Amino acid sequence: MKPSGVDLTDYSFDQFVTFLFAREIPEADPESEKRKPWYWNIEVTFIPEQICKYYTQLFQQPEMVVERFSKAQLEEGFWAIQGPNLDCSVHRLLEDTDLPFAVRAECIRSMFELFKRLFAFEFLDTSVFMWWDSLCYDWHCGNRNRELGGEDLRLQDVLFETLAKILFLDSEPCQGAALHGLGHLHHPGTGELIERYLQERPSLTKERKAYALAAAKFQVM
Amino acid sequence: MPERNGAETRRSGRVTLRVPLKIYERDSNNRFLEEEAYAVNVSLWGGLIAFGAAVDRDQKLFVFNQATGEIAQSQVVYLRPMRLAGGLGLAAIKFLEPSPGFWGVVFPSCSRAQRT
Repeated sequence: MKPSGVDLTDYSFDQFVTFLFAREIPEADPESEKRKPWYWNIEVTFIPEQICKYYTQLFQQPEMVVERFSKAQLEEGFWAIQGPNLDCSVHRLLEDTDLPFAVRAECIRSMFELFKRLFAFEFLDTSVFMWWDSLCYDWHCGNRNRELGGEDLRLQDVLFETLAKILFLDSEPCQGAALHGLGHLHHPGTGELIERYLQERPSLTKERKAYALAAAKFQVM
Repeated sequence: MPERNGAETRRSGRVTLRVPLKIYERDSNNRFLEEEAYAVNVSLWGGLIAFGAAVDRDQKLFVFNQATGEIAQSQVVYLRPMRLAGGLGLAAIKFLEPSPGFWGVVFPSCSRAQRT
């Protein structure tokens, strides 16, 4: 199937948000044709720096999407943003070394606000738990390696800083997502950070404590 | 590679990807129950699946990929003890027979890829 094309070059921030989330989510129907997320088959023309700044803006003021879109639309949209399929996804933009590092770092840091102001309250199905898996797994499987220095190190540090802040939010989904990301990021500060997390939360359930300890050893799935 | 599913898998043996599925499991009366589910990461050998039903470790399931139309038999090899905030559970499955086309994704090899 030929991908459909969309030119985002002249999109305003509001139009970009509509592009991401205002999607018809088909009901499950055993008789229906194959069901594919919209972002699997779309070719996007865009200006990377502009779109990265739009993401930062969205993450800094995420409450607006709750009023405008359904939970299913949010789930699908946040998967489009974090995943590798969409040409202009955050996943792709963070890998774009033509984009100034400071712009990408600001985008990552703004994700703290996304978790604090939206994901802590809006319990989506899987997009929140998998967010940092999507962005950190390269360090787990060896695609990226801190010892190589350069962006592998600098990006890892920015991700770690952001995850460390999210880990201490008073929200179980946020803590779970942060532990998941830390378990894949392989940052040298992880053990110490999780030890502090466990010390400050002596009443964690047995399962959550076990998950935190597994994350400290980079043994999460 | 069919369409653009996981187009940027780069060198990883496992891809974080949300894929709509249907799961078929036998109930106590040996009937097949159908349930909507999603894969949240996928590999050549299986995947991590989010769904609502309670399943047991080692349980066999038929998995239907709504995006590719492929079906495969699988077995539960891991159950995450905690449910997600929205109520879904996570289970890792492995294919019982090689199913390289199941996800519609090409998986390059990965130095430290972990088999799910």
